[in-house]
Amino acid sequence: MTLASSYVWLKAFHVASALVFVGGLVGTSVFIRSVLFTSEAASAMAETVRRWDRRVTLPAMLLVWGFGIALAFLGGWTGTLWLPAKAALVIVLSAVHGIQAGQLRRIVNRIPGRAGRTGPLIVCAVIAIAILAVVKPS
Amino acid sequence: MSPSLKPLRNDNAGPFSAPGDDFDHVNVRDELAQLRRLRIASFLEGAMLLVLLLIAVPLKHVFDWSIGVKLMGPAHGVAVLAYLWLILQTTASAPYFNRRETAQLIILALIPMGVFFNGLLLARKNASLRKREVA
Repeated sequence: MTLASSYVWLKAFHVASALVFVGGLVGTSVFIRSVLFTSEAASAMAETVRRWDRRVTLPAMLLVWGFGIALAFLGGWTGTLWLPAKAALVIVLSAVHGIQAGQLRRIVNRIPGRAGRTGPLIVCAVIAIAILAVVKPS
Repeated sequence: MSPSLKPLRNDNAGPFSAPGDDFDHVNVRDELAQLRRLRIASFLEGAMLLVLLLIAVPLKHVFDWSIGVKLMGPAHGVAVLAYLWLILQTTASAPYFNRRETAQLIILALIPMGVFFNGLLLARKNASLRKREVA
């Protein structure tokens, strides 16, 4: 496999991982906002959402990072301006995921708490990431 | 309305607004395991920075051996991100971390060697949980 062909494969897997990661983020965001943290029914549902988060969303986030770092070096994008901006937004989304993972754990354990509105932040970050990745403004 | 639907806003202690040292509702054994994970991540992050600064960087400058820095630099970066992720997960789930303590954990995670000061706070929380476990 040549460097050029491995680059497009890495890019394909990077995009696929990003789609799965963002899907998980949005779904969890809606779930957390719509339930009462101390509810028994919510706790049972949160077990399922948490399982999905651990088995699908978290690995997808790690793959996004892994493929993304590989693409940055293989594609020679390390000196560009758009890449650190995009990385900063991915750090924000990863931080949102960390908070969501904690809130899911809180709902499972029925610990009182409340969730902030993260949906608009996620959507705006994803739009900005798409623009930075496709347009690559210098 | 399903019992899982939120009837009104729950203004009890939130992920970043808990009153601190609030150990009500927590599963002590589960929380001790979570704190252990955070303390291990904290130790690894600090240890990797020390290896980078005290071994890899001198080797690069004295013996012109740069592989250590090339390996340890990104590895430490990943360790910092993983540590920050774990801080957010823990503080968002545990009601006994208040805003100030959460901010302290995050800020000190970004300052070189700050993790060792975080270790003191985590040890204090661990001791409080252990007391709770015994009681």
